Amino acid sequence: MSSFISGYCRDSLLPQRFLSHLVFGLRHTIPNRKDIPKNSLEEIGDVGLWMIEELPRKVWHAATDPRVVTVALTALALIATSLLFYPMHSLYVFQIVWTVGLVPPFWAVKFAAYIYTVELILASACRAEGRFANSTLMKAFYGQL
Amino acid sequence: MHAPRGFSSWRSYFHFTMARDFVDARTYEPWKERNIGERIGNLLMKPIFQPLNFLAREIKNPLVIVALTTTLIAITTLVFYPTELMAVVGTVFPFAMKIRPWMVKFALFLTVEGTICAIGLRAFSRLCNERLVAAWHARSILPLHIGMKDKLHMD
Repeated sequence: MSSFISGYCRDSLLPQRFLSHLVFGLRHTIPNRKDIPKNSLEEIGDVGLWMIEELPRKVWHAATDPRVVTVALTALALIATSLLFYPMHSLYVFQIVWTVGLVPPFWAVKFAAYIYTVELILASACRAEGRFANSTLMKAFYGQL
Repeated sequence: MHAPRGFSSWRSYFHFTMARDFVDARTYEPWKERNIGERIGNLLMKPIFQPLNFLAREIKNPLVIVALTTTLIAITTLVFYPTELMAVVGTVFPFAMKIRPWMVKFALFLTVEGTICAIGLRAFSRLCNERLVAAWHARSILPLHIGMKDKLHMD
């Protein structure tokens, strides 16, 4: 017996069933669940995973905007001209900007990465728990709806 | 690498942003709806691109060839024998002796940077001009590049 959402079949092998649970718990969107609303735990998980799921798409969308491309190309041409005419001065300024402005200390990068990783794990857990706690969704997943 | 969104290729993007001007594809009338950014960009580019445009259009003219050859010889002499050339020029134009190499370099640097800024400003302003972008994608306007005559239908 298989569900109309995920194709889950209780007669399939254990690894296949485990994979289905994994996909069900962590997948970005569950298709064909229009009339099954999200609970608050799942929504909290979605918010926590926004940075890894939605932000790259938005960044890509902005990066392919012709206006952004124009500004980037103009800035690149200005920097190249500056390096061509006054290489020593330009490299000195870039070094200062790089050291002071752009590169944070290693301990800050490490701590931020740690916090971000923990946050991602918690958000994934919230989403999975929210979905597994959603009885309507679970029934649909197991094909008993 | 992907072309910017809305453009079929990088070639189309550069044709749009680097065109000297646009004309209507049917009537060949010049496109008149320019925003303030485009006008400022065009104005800043004029000292460099107007002579270039003239040169590209009239390159077959013998007088232009003579003038261009003379200019290139003068530049070559300046590169190889700057002191001697400046001594000769200084007898005709005394103020020329006060010009130092760093002044020339800085003036050239400012000119190039200013032109790049002007090109970028004009390109950005064109992309903000929704009617122009729509006309471009609908192929109802044609680009005029440097060296092309203003009146296309007379070619």
